[in-house]
Amino acid sequence: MIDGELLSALADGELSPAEESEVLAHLAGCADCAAELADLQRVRRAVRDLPWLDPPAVLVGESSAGARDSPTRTRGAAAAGAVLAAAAAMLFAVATPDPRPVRPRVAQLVDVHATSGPGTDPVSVLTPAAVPVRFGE
Amino acid sequence: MTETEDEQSVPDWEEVARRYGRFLFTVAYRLTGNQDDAQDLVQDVLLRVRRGLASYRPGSMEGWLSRITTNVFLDDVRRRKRRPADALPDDPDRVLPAAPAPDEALDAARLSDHVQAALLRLPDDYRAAVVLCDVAGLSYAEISEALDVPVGTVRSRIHRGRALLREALG
Repeated sequence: MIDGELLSALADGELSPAEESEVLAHLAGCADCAAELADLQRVRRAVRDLPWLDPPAVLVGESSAGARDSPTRTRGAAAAGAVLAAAAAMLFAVATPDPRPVRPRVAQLVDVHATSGPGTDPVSVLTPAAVPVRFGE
Repeated sequence: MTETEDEQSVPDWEEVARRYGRFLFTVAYRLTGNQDDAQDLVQDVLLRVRRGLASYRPGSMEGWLSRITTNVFLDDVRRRKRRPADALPDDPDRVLPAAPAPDEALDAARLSDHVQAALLRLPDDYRAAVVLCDVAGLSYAEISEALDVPVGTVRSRIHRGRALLREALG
C-alpha cells in the first residue's frame, strides 16, 4: 500500500511528474491501491457533482441570480432610498403582531454600512428592532 | 457612492457581487450547510471586499474570494465553539439525516443532501480544504494560500476529508 494522500493528489492532478509515474507504476500491480483510488475518485466526484446554488437576489442586487447581464443600477440616490425602504419595512414589522420578512437591498445596506462612521450608520440605528427580523426566506 | 467609472484597477465590490455571487453563495452554502448562515457569510465577505480592496492582488479572483470566505467562516466557527449554545450547524435534521434507502439512490436531490450532510460532519479545517478543492475548484497552491498552510497540509487535509466522506457515504 502507498500513502493515500498520493492517491488523492493523483486524482486531483497535483502530483509532480516523478511522483505520478511512481504511483502509476505501483497501481498497475496493486489491486488494493487501485480500489482505494476508485473509492477516492467516487467521493471526489460526489462533491464536485453537488449543484451550484443561486444566491438570494437580495445579496446580488436586482439582476437575477447568476445572470451576467449588463448592470443597469443607479447608485447614490438608490442607496438612500433602499435604506429608507428598509426603515419603513422595519417600522411596519414592529407595528405588526407577527414577524414579517424584510427585503431591503442588502448589497446597498452593506455599502452604506461600510462607508458610514459610528453613530451615523443607518444600519446600526435600525438594528435594535423590537421583533425578530428575517432577511428573505 | 464612492466609486467612479475610471476606478477599474481594483474590482468594484458590486461587480464582485454580480459576477461572483453564485460562486460565493455556493461555497458559503457548502461550508455552512444552510441558507441563513450562507447568506450571512456572503454578506460578511462582501463587506470585507468593500473595505479591503486595497489588499487585492491581480490574480485569481476565485482564489482571493475563497481566502476571504474561509477566513470569515473559520473565524466564525471558532468563535461559536467558545459559545456552545450557538454551535454550528443549528438544524439537527441537517446533521444526521436518514441515509437514503437503496431504491432511492438515484434521487439526485436526496443524494446532494446526503453528501452535504457528510461534508458538515467533517472537521472544519478538512471541510474547508475539500470545499475549496472540489467546489471552488482551486489548485492545492491556491488553497495553501487561502488557508495559510503549507501545500503538504492541504494535501493531507483533502485526503483525510475524503477518507471520512467515504466512510460516511458508504
